[in-house]
Amino acid sequence: MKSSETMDIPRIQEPTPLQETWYHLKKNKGAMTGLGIITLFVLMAIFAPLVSPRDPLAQQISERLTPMFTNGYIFGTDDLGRDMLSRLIYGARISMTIGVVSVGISLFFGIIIGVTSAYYGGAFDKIVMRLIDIMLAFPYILLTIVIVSLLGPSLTNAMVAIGISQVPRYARVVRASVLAEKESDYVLAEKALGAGDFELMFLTILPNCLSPTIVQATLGVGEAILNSAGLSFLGLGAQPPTPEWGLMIASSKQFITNAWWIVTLPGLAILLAVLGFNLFGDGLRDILDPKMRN
Amino acid sequence: MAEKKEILLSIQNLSFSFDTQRGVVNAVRDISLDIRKGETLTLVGESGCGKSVTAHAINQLNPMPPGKVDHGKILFRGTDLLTLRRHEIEKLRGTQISMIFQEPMTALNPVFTVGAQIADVFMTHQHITKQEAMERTIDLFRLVKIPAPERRVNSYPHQLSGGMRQRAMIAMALASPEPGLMIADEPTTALDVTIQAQILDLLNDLKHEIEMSILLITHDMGVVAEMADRVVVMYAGRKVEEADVFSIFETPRHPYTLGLLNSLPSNTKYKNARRLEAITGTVPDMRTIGAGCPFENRCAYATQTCGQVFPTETVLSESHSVWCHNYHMVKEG
Repeated sequence: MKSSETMDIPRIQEPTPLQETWYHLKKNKGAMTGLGIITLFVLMAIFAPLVSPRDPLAQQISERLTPMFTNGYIFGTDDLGRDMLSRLIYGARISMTIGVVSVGISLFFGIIIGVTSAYYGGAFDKIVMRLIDIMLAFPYILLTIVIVSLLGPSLTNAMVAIGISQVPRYARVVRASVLAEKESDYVLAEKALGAGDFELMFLTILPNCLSPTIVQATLGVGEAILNSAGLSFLGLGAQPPTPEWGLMIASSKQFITNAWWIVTLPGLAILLAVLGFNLFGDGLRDILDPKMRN
Repeated sequence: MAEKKEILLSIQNLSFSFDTQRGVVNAVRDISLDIRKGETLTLVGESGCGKSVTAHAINQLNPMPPGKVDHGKILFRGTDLLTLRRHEIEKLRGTQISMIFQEPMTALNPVFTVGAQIADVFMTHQHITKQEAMERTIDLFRLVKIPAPERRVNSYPHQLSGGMRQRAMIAMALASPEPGLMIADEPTTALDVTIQAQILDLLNDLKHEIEMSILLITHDMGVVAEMADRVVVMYAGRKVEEADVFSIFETPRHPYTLGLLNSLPSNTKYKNARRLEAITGTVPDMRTIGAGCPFENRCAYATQTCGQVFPTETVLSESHSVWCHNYHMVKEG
């Protein structure tokens, strides 16, 4: 023991898992593009009041349907004379919130259901999984419409509906990876050292199942944004005059022939946001799966 | 071994079976063994003979169902572990009975640093702060001779070598407040020979330092010679011979024990064996084992009675018993 204390061991700093992920992420162009888009939208959402040139709700009837790059309106105005750029920026705020909150709801329930179902197994697992199968058999839009019509149309209820309708997916992903991990030696070892069920499920096994869950969640944010736009378009989500992208498309669809930008720009915003999350999610999947890494 | 110390763990007539889809497997049949304070008992036998099932029955790590205790008692410090409730067993695990596993590669949680995992064990059983737990983890690392412990606690399992990981595992097992019994399930099987020797030395040192008892499971007679005070030889779920370590190597009386010793390479005592001797045949199917001696089909000394009744205990000396009808015929091969 003496020798090791007097010996001068070179201090090699080993990378933490986070550093390692970042290292691989930097080399993945798609993921970096996605991350760039996400960062842009997140910054827009956070600093919306600072970066938007005008009040997104202020109507200037005299300036209605101003085309792009005219009279100081970069993206023009809509049918009520509201500044499109400001509305799109505030829309980012709403869409990001929807994405994060609804995925948060799905994750919370999905993880609890997935982990307990896989951990306890047996009849409990069978019953839970058949219920999940039934939920998966419903088209998500039907499911969300049912939930929203039960709770009443509003943005919050749309988030809850989207969150709940996606629970089965997360439950399945989590269950599959818990099933793979729960027979591992380290689980038995922790058990032999006195860990109880809760500790084993959520503190020992779950952290090892996080990478597929994170990938699923990232892809899920994009999808949730798309779904909420869809719900708002149908009038079941955000209500006017909220600058929600889907709602913006819905309320101005009759102007598509003479003022294309009011319909197209929110559509492009949705496209870009969803694309960003999908690119990033796909990249993360490649990075976090050691088999796909070279 | 001169004076007899108090018995820490006593397994009495334990039978354990697994009810599988393809029939009932009687993995352990009528096993009895005693472990005294500060003693190392090794459980020897080939793969699938019920060594691990016996060990896991102690702190109830066998999956139940399909596993089930058919009869028997496991007395630990006087209480029968089989009558304890679930949370009482959980309390015992890691406090008085700890365990180290065969595969140090997989027995540590890959997503946490080894230090955090050990500190966690401290905090599970004792009310101490994270800081204190970390300090005691570093002390433990020093005890198990991990170099540069202050830095090693922050390493992830994949950043450590096999030997280092096994030391970390041992440290983890020692993180209990009152280590009484350590169950070591083939602790050196996955390691190369030099590291194996170091780990065994470490276990021996620790045993003397903190006076714990070790139940060591192995199939390696070399490890037995190095570590054991007493040896229990198991075959197909049965105890076939029990003796102090010297008697086992000097005067093995069960044909299976003899076979195990003969299959050791370069054993000077058995130098007549030019080629390495293997025990012919394979272990019988555990589902179809009859009432007779399970070794009968592979045994050179088998007679007709062997296939019909399992032999009763023959006490050869105070510390040596054998379960064989024809033990008197077994002289060194």
